[in-house]
Amino acid sequence: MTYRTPLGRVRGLGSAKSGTKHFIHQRFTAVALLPLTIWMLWAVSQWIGKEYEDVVSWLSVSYHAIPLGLYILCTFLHAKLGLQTVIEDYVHCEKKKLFMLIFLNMAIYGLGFTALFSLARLAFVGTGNFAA
Amino acid sequence: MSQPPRKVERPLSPHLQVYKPQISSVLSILHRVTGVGLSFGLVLLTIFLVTASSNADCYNAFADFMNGIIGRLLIVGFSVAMFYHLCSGIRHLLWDLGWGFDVPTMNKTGWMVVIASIGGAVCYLMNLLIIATAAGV
Repeated sequence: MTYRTPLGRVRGLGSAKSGTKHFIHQRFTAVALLPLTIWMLWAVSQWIGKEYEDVVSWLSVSYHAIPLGLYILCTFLHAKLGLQTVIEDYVHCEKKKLFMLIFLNMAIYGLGFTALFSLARLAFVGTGNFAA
Repeated sequence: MSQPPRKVERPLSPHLQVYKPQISSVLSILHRVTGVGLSFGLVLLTIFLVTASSNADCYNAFADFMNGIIGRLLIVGFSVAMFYHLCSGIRHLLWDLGWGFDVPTMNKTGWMVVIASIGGAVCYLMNLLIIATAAGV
């Protein structure tokens, strides 16, 4: 049952019906990122000043690769939702907003997949991802 | 019937500059600013994983950059932003649960976030500096 007039719907005004999902996903990823971020801060401290071989073997073990993979998943999604809100709040020109949202999606999914793929490839196959 | 829809000119709230900075507004703006800033850290994380999964020369070039002055400034900036966004985010999640909305509590938790994030970031960065010095970088 919809209370909106056909004219209102065809003009695309009013609720897009996905705002609540956006809100909830932002909070779910935020809650997941509380422990994952603390883990990530610790992880960074483990990479500093290490030799290449040590960093590679550190990243390859499951109990490091799994939380790092989860961190990448949650944080890229959280960043996408947050940046989308910022763009929608401050960019008022419809055309510019559309292009920025498209660019945001390409950047988030492009970088996120690259990060996850590199981590998975390192763990499963080893080095030599982009240059042997 | 074929008229294009009329553009509705909705009012915008007054500009931010006319308000006196308050703990509530400043922290809210900082949450957004640090959130946007941290998103750019994801580029750094991706470069780290790409170079680490490629080869030693690639990774060492990245590590040299991060050990340099620009890299260190990035680490300091992202760490401070991360601690602030984390502490402020906990405050936001408590609000989402309906806790701490009254003005005295809000002011108190606001200052707690400021102190905790600065304290946390300083301790964390000291720890990183000790690790880096011990490793000779």
